[in-house]
Amino acid sequence: MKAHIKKMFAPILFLILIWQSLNYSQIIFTKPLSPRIAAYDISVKLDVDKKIIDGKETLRWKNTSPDMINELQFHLYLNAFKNSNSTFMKESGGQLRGIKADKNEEIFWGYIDVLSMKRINGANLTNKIKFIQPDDDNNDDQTVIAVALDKPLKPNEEIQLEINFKSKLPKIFARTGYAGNYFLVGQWFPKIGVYEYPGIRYAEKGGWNCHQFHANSEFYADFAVFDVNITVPSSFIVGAVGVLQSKLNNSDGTATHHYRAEDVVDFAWTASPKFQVVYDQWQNVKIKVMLQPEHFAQAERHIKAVKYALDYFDKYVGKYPYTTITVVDPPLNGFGSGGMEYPSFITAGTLWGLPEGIKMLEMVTIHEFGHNYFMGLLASNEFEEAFLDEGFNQYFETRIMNYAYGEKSSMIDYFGFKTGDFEFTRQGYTGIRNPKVAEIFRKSWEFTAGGYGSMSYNKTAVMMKTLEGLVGIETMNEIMKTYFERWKFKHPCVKDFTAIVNEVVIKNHGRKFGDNMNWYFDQTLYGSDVCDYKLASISNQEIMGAFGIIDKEGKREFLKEEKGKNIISKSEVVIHRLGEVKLPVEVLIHFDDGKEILEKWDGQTRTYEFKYEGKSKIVWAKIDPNNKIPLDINIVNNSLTAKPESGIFIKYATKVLFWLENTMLTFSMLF
Amino acid sequence: MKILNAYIEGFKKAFVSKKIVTVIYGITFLLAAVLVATFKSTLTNNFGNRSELYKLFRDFDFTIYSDFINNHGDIVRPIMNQMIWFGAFYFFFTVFFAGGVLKYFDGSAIKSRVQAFFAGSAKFFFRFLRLGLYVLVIQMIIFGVVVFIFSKIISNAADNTPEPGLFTILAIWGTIHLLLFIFVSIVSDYAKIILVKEDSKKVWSALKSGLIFTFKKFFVVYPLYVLLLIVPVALVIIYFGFDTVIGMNSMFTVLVMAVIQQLFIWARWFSKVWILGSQFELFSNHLIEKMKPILTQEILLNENL
Repeated sequence: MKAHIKKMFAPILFLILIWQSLNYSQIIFTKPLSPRIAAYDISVKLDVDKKIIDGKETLRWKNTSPDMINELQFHLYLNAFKNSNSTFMKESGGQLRGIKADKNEEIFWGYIDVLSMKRINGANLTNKIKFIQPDDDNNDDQTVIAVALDKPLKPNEEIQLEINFKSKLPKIFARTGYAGNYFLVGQWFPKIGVYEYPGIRYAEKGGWNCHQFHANSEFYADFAVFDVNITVPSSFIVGAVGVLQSKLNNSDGTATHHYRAEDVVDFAWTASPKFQVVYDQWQNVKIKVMLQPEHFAQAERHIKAVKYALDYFDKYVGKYPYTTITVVDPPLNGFGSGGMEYPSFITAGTLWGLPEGIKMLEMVTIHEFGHNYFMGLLASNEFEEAFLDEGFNQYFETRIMNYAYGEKSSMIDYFGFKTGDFEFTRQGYTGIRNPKVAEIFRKSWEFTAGGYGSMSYNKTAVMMKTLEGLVGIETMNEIMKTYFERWKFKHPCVKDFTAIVNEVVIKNHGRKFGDNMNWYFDQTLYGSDVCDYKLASISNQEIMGAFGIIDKEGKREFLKEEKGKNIISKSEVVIHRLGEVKLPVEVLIHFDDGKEILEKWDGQTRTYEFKYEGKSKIVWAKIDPNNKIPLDINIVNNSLTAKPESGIFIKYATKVLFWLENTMLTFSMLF
Repeated sequence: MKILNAYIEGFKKAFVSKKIVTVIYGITFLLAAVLVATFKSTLTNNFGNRSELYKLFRDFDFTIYSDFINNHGDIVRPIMNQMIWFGAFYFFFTVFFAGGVLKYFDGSAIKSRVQAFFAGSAKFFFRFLRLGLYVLVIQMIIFGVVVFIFSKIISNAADNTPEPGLFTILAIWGTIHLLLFIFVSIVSDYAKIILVKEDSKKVWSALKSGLIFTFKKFFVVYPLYVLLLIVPVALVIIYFGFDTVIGMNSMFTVLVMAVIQQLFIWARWFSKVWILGSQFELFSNHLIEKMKPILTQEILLNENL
């Protein structure tokens, strides 16, 4: 009988199992890592010809604040690509990183329409949707909506919404869209903003933090769980944030890929029939690299870079919590989608035949991976404090690049020309026309006179490196580890970071740097002044030494006044502080008998002199001999010799002579 | 055979002209040295004691170099700009020298060949200058047309062509441009030779004759030119070989490389004169061949008389 029942129910059980596997996701983390304020259940179908996504989104959102909430706010970021009047288009001029938007055909533009929004088993809110512009007065910008609720949402109450939407993807020039049949789908669904209340960042009272889509920034969201079913033609290869749960081939020639991601702040995906996929593993992390066929030979370079980054972050910041990392390699015509970051899903960027000595793809891969930490796990507000993710990440990018590929050759090591990634990064700050153009601490859309990249990425990385120089690498590592452990899966602001700096520095160094390190951040983070020390002069004057009865080193001796004898040197080194930034600095002074003295100066006054009397003369002196202060914008004036040398100038004169002659001969080729 | 003969005879002509090559090299060196002396004294006066810069003696250091340019670039930038002007100015010298070199080849009747060189330089300067400007305009037009055509091709192909395909298009673009550049250079060279040989002032006519000659003898003149380019290209490769092996990180190696560099410049001028010599030889032989039937007819006519 039992066997008979088993036989009868077997097909039903089988069907139930199939149904379950299709509709229920496998839990990734048994214990949630984050507050999981939102949960998205999204089903989308991609029309590859029209570049349109039809989507149905079920959102569960919990009011974790102590407030009664009367409206919700959502990002509709694809509307940034709707027309030339969006704030993004106005700010960016319709280009990003030099790639210009193609504007001449309707299909090149992008948008997102919310077709309907209603409470599940409740009121229809579609008519309550209105566009708002919290950042500027641009009424034409449609990247944020506010939805008035039919009844307020109480503290700890959850709302469930069903949203139907249609997303038209733009032709890729910035971050998201399509290029032929390559799709990088980011910022594509109605995404709820962050409701901040006292205790979160700078909030003094409850309110939405939901910024418009800007040229320079796009990330700030709560941690959420995503269940996303993506339907694309079955020939397409798909990759996405999170873990693939299932793939089901449909009868209409499409396939549905079900992805689940937990404890992440965003969800993006990619699809293309051309991808060639390579898998690898680091500890329990599955590495998936989705390459263009012409870049397949560079698969190993991507994997190595990801492994270096995983290894380094694990050692010096904290554990990578996700079980997957997907690296997408965009095609040349979709290059604008390269160099992007989403949790456990990044886009890199390379060129066919890129020499090994040019580490562009490694640099981009490591940088974008780092955003899993700075922005992904430490979910700071990119709009308001871009440096907390871009700058901190840039600092770690340079550390990893130097660790992996050599300090002076990590960026380029090609035909004898070498430069390191940190050198390149520093030049991005010191090399701009006006390094005082703005302070780092500024909202991303307020860099109206330029300097967003130089301040948020470059100067911040140099500021962090200088902090490392001052407090030491061990203390710096402890700072970063503490910052990560304390603020992962939360929304830190810079005050949370500086509080940790103050705590760890006091713990490790006592009051060596004062009561706190605020003086450092006041100058470098909140101020726009520059640091520049100059070794102004060295002098060695011969003078007559003392004569008579001299007590020296426990001995007494008589010295006669004798002309030409008993001569000593009175030497002096003068230092100037040309910049307004005052940092403690070391000065190394080398004497002709080989003796070296390492002096310290607090840098508070405009000038300072170190004076010596003795048998030996100063040969040379150097400010910051251990390169602890890369914020110093001019290291050429940091050193001085008592006597000039001409060897270097003979070398360069010879080179210039040769290249000048060659230039002249090249002109002569025109005739 | 014609190609090889012209190649060898060109070398002989250049070898015979080594004094002239040395004179041209000397003037080139002096011109450059004037500017470089200013460059060096500016650097020594301003940065002679800045020991951080000494690191650049041993090796290239991006940070020191970039800080130098960022903070003190204004001191050396005018000198760099002057270098471009020197290059442009040198174009006129080249025009001047070219007439002299060709007259020197053609100057068998004149006692002093150096005299012939300077006399030729002066005599043909304005004719060659006009020719040079015409050629410059033609090169620019060709450049514009090629860029226009290929940028259209690339923009149309960009969306559907994989990268190797796009790089192939770029390579074809570069090759076609190079071939056209060489073609115009060849026409220009034969126009110069015609102006000297015929002592003509009709520059357009010489250019036209040069064009016809190049077309008629395309499979001789073009391979000859390409063959002649092997030497300067080889010189560049050899130079970089020396630079890599020797380097410039001690005073001794700086001096060794300085000598090699100047030999390289001299050799580049030698190869340029070699090119003109070979072309001159080829064209002279062509004229002789053209004359042969006439001469034969004249002899027969005289015999009959």
